[in-house]
Amino acid sequence: MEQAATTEQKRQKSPTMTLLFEAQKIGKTFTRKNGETIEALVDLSLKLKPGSLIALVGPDASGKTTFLRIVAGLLTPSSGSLHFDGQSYAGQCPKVLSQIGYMPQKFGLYEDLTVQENLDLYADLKNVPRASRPKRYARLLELCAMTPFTQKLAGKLSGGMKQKLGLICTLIAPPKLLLLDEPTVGVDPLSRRELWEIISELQAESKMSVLVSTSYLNEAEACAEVLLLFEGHTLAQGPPLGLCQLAAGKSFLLPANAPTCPRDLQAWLLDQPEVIDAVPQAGDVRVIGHRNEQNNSCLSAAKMVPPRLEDSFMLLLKQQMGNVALAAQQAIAQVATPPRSAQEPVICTEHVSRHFGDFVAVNDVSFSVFPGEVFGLLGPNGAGKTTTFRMLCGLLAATSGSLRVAGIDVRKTPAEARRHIGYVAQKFSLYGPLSVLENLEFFAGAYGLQGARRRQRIAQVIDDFQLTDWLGIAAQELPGGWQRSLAMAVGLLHEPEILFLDEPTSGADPLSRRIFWKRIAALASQGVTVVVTTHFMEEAEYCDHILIQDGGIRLAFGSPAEIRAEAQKLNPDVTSMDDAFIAIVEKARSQKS
Amino acid sequence: MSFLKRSFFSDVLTVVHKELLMILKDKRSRIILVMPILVQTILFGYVDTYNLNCVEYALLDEDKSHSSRLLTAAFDGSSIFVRTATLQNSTQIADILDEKKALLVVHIASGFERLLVNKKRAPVQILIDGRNSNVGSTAAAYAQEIIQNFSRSPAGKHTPWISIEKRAWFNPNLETRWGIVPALTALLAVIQVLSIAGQSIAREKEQGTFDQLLVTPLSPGAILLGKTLPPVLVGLVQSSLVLLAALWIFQIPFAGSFFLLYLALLIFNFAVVGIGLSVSAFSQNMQQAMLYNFSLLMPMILLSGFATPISSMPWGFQIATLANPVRYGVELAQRIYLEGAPFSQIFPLLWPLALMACLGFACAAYLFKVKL
Amino acid sequence: MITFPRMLAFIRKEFRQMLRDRSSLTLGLILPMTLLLIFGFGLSLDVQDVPVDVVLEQNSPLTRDLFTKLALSPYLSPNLTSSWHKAENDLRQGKCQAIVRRSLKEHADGREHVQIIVNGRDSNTARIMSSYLESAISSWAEQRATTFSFQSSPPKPRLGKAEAETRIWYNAAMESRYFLVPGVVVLIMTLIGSLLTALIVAREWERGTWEALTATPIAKHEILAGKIVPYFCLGMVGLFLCLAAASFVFDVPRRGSLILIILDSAIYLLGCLGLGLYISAATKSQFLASQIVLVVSFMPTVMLSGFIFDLKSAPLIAQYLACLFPATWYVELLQSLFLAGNVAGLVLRDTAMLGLFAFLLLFAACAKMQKSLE
Repeated sequence: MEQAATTEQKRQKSPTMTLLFEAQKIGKTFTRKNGETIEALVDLSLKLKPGSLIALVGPDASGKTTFLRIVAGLLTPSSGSLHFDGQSYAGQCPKVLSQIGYMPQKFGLYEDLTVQENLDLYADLKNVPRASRPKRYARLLELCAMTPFTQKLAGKLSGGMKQKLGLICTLIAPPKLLLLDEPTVGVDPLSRRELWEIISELQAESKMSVLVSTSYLNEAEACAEVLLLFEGHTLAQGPPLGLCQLAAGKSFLLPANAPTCPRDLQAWLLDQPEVIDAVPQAGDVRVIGHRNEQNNSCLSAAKMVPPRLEDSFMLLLKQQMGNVALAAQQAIAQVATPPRSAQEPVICTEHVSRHFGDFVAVNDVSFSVFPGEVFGLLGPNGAGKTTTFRMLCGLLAATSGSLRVAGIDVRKTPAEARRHIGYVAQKFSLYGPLSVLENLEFFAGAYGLQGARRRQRIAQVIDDFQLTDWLGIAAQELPGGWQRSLAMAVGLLHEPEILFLDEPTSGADPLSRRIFWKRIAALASQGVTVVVTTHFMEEAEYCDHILIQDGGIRLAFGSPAEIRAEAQKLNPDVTSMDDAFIAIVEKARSQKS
Repeated sequence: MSFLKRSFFSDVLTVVHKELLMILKDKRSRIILVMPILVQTILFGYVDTYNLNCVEYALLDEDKSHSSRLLTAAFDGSSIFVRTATLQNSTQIADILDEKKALLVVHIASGFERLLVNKKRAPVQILIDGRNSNVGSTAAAYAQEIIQNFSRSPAGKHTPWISIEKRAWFNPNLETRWGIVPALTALLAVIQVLSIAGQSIAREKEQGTFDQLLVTPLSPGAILLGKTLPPVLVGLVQSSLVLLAALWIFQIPFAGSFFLLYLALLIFNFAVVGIGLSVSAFSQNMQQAMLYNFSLLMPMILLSGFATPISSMPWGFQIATLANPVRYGVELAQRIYLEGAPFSQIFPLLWPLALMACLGFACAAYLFKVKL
Repeated sequence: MITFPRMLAFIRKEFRQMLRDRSSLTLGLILPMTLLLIFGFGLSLDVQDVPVDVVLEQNSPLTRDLFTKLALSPYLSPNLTSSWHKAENDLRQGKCQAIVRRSLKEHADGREHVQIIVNGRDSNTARIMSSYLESAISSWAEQRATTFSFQSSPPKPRLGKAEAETRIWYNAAMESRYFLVPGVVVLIMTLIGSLLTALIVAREWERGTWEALTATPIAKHEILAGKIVPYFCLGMVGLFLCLAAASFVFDVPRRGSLILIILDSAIYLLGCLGLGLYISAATKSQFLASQIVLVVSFMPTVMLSGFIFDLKSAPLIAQYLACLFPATWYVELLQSLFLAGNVAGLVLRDTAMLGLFAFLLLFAACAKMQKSLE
């Protein structure tokens, strides 16, 4: 009684009244099968005012999803308390749940139902009054430009469309609090922009609060507040501008001079002691580091620039991870780039088309890739990238045109061509129940590695990817980042001449993306050709050549600088790759319609 | 990478190794592969019998004479009949049978002894619950035998000029178990062999590992064969478990050659896996693979001659069983086990199975290639 | 806490998914038809027109006479052969079910010696055959005793002869179809009830739709209802198909009340649905769930329920075990309702048992359907 009375008093006195949601010292521990306990969250506290937008950022396994699930009532916290609208809850509480919208990372659309049926289902599940539905449907469908597709099966939509549909299903009953778990993973920049427009428009309309986890730091930068998690601990919390100041005076821009490509410059910079982080940006390299005026530092020529959130993020994380991250980066040996001579192209496609019934997925696309090149295949969701990719790997036959990979006609002898390629799928696609070592051994066998060479190669990739501690763990139980490493390790087991990577960095945090690209740079310098698709447009900067595709048609082809220059012709404001991409695709789409 | 000498054999082994790991890695699936087989063998060995060794009966003796007591004693003294009720009047009969308190009622009407003494036919009414017609008719035959023996002249069993000798080959006491348990060596394995083969491709499709497998230089043939051998192996191990139970628990004498039995089981398993893989390659996801497989499994088991004799089926169904691999498997297992049939005799059963195996693989390979 | 429109929406969704998936309709509608066909027309335990080889090693009129006698029987189709070797081969290959052979060597007491040989592989047929042949031959021998008068006529009996007068209740014609067709109803209810539902919760886990679902305010008994209703309807459609086929195609008499049959089937079906959903929610894996359902639901229904094999002859422990499966009670109930009529005591008891199972299993399924990810 007494306790109830005091909380009542507190509620009246304290400013909680104006708070929509409050989490106090939330902790969560899990117990693994082997009895080991893991602290997924430690003393996380968060206050949300109505109409606020807060981002959760942090590397893999930092507890972002766990926290969102706790807020959504799917998990019960081990300690701490949750209040929603002044009401305390933990776990299932229908009254609270009906006012919270939660969109999980892998949103549960029923793929065998149509768009309209999915909408109806979620409207019913959330008790949306029938009278208000037509208006709400029309508004939401219009927002995401899906009005013509209501009778389509959800399973037949492209990745970006699915994500948008998931979002409007979550929003069908206007929630007071919207929880989004990595809503933009695997979504192209155009759709990503649209998603955020939908969110901000609805937020302006209804004053809902949004809690979003994301690995895109430029998205987080647009939020009112950012919460940086690391291994369940809160590393930093506050408005993004404040957080950016952590890196004040440490951010520089270093121009890459003509013969050196930014990728190689970045790789070299990362090995310098005073450099904390380096990343290519619009033809230059952005560096975070301590400029030491005395000695002749590599940063003395660099221009100081205003810091951004990603800089602080890298700074904080590297402080935390210290040697671990360093070791991972340095494990990748950098080889001096051999001079690139004009050779025969290693991949050569001419007038390739692929039809699915009446639908033309790829329409008359031609391009060449030379040995040792990093080649980027970009395009919005549903642009035909995956189809092109699958044709190159021999998983899909082309309807017409010629495809030569490593000098072999893929249409004639796909098995022969496959021997020369490594392939890393977008979705984790190794054998989940098998352990890391068993997966490696199987694929070594599948690529025909035998005897001493097999042992040597397996040992080599285990060493390269630092998998030693995980060898006995089932692949499906690995944290996401390690799954990506394992998939790469498998793709590289047989030392392929060409490596195909389908969205290898989607959902990865900036730190692991740095490590990934450093590895790619190293491979390219060894003469391996890398073909990669990505939705992180700034990653296109790592590529030697880029092909932008939409609607199955080739829109642009060239080096990053050439693409940017081309986009600038369309729109002089273009500076970043993101902008360039959007300008080119939108131009093509407006011409088409 | 031309220095990599690729041999088909090691490719197949690689896939086999992986498939076995996938099947056996999970403790729950290891249990599900072994325990049910043992439990079912023991259960069916003991339960599934057409031999009636216990018939519950009710007696309505209206005669209450010396003769009726003698007849009653004959029933009670038999090892099969167990009296569960003694009735007072005929109105109770319906109740007893309706409620299944007894399988049959022996009704001795008053005047039974008088008729006997007068050297007339003295009827004894046997009222039988025919809901299960098979059990009913067997019980009727037993009751008739007891009544016949009761009134038979002590002079001899048959008319004196002839003696009839009954003999049952391969199963002298006509125990149902002797027929059923050897048949189980083939039958029980089918269920899970079909399931494992059925899910092997569908699961890769559903979980997205199929592409990863296909970008390796493994040839479709090696993948297919690699996916065939593990379920065949599982099937052989399961059959061996049943075989051990038959030999040690049920002590059914083994008349044939182990080599022939395993040869037959091997070909049989290949035929079954061929069907499973075809279904798997045809299906879009695991659910479809499992449901389609099951829809095939039921008719295959029912029309195998395991539970009811093929010779009692109508002509059309008898023809249909010719396309059913389980029919051959069951017959092969029984004939090799009980009769000790030599190769020359089982060959007519082996070649259709081998043909089915080949057709199954051709079909699976075709469907598999179409998907590529 | 049940909100009606929400529950209806969920039911509608499950209906759509069920109807859009061709494989569940195959299992729900085509398989039952196939099973009815097989059980109604294909399977039979009745012995008729059984091929029998009569071996004629010396062409004696006596053997010919016996052959003519056997040929008159509707149950046998005897075939005269002169080669013992051929007969033996026929028996092994299943071309004949029994051999009748006059022994060459004379019996010590001068009596004729006739051998009946059956193949014990199929012990049921063998037993029926050998006793049938025995009685046919001995009745023939009695008739011929006077004609051939080998020896003095048999001694006059002291007493009259007791004769069995057999009346088969419920199934006077002894048609095995009459008990197999109600059995199919049990099989089909089990299949639709537990095998299909075993997949549908595990599927939501495996496809990742469970998380979004649980984050909505839907209550777990609403989920349960949504998963049950469509498959319940499918099961009832299967039931009506079977009932119609039983009456109109197979002429199985139905002496009990139709309403009772439908009511009890509904209760049994609910129990099966509960079992399937429980297993599905507990394993969260489609493959494992389907295997477990085969073992705990389907195989016991075929083998342990008294559907084909009589339980009274089984060891006591198996009989007790059988009581733990609802199918055992349902089989007994259906056979009685079809063939015997509304037997009050039995119907009440079995219905009560089915009700108890249904309640427990549905309760367990509801408890297991946790709306949390832990």
